[in-house]
Amino acid sequence: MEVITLAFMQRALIAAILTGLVAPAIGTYVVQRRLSLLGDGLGHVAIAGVGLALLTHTSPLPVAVVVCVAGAVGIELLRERGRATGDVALAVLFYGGLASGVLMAGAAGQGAGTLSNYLFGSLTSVTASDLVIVAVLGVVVLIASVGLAPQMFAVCADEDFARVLGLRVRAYNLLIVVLAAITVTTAMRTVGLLLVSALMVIPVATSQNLFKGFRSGLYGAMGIGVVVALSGVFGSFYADVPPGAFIVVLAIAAFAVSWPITSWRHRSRPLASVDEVEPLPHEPTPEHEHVHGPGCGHRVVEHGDHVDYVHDGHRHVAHADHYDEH
Amino acid sequence: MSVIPVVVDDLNVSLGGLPILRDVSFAVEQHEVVALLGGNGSGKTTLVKALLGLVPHQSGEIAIFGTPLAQFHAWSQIGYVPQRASVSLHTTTVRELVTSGTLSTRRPFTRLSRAGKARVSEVIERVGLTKKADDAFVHLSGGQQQRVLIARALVSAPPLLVMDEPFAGVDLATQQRLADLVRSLHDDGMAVLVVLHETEVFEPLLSRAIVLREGRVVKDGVLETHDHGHEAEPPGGTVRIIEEVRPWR
Repeated sequence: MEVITLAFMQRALIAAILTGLVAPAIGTYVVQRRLSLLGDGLGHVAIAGVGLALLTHTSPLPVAVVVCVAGAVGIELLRERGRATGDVALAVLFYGGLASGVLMAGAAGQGAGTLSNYLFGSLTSVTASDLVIVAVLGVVVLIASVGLAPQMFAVCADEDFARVLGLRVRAYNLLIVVLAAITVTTAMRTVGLLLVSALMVIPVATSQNLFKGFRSGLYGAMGIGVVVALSGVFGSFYADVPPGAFIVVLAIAAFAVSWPITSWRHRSRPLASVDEVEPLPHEPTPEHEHVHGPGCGHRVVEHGDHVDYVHDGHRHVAHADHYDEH
Repeated sequence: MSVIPVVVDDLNVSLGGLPILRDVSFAVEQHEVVALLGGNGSGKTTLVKALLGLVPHQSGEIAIFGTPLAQFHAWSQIGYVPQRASVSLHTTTVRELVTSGTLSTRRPFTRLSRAGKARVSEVIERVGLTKKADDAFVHLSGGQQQRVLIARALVSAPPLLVMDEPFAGVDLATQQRLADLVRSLHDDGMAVLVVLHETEVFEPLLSRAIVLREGRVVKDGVLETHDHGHEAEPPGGTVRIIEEVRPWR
């Protein structure tokens, strides 16, 4: 275990814990909004940021954060305006990001080897200043993902209902994609820009197989994310492979293990839900002097195994020595 | 002084340049259950969405509890029941979904109070789903899901309930249960505006019905009542409005 005494590994492990917590946290909302591949697209946009940083000889992480957040806002505005045209525009944005990133990196005299550190992660590339940025942004994303969980859950589950609640749906939608963009870029040192989307989606799916409820699922996904990210960093050290690939393979393995559990749960559940679970409260009609019966003159409505009598905005049925509201 | 829950005056809505609602005027008074009827494409759902501010209107006025829609912020006064909720995380529980109804009065970064939790349990009990409270929403039947959506709308104890086709995909027995539930809410003094394809089981509850055709109000009035002796009501049938009323004019 002397591996954890190595300074670069300590930085990589801290970054892995943060990434493992943050990616599935924001990923829960991204999955709920059925935008599972958003992280993948944002990863492509972030590559442009890395290329720009290499060309301008600046630190890649802050530049990538700014470029990716700007791209995320653009993507959300396109989504708002209509999906048909948005699809094509998204493709242009994503592949434009990738191509321009590679072009700028090439112009800066950097080859594919340099870029691959950002695409698939690299243990040795996490600098102390990177770690500070990852920690600060990670905490911001975590506070928002957990603290605003009720609001973001409502917006993702039902936009119209959220609007009628008076929630600022547009602002929350923007917040989700901006947080996703920050997560993608802060994860580029550990899991990498091309694989980060997997860490946003797969632990969420795994957690859904294991835990009941939205909030349990959120925390479960974060726990699974930390375990696979840490394990992946250790595995990467010993196997001398990029950490991103190791992390994602472990995440998929965890998902595969969770699959039989959900299948078993489905089998043990009743096949169909019966609607008549509990009777609605028994509600006697106050002071009902008239006795309903054939020819009493009130309107009759069939109701299950009996008839109700309708008058004055009420519907009554005889029950013992009184009438009930039906 | 009682304030009229909904007043719509000369409302015009166009979507994508196509007129959907034309010169629509109506009101829903407190203690009324009003049905919004009409065929597919008549503009019922668009009208509901317009008066909730979910689609913009080009001209005309909408006032909710006496406040113009643009200035209306007391959203806890409206309970909205959409046709269905799309819950993509399949483990979301009934309680979690109903709890989201508390957000109209809850500030960000605050926990749900003990009273709030008790209110959530109370409305789940009111719709008869206490035993299902911690079950996944997606595993419920269509009728039970509809009751969950009603419970979610009721959490803030709104004086106005707006329901968009609550009977879509729901069998007749469940429709009857939903109608029973709405009747008990109406007895509590709630105003109800409900979009329906046909009045059917709702008919005994309705104070008035508004019929839309091609985006215009073609009928607005009290439903005809008849005595069928002991024969059952004919299923479905046409809407028979005998008394045209426009009380807000």
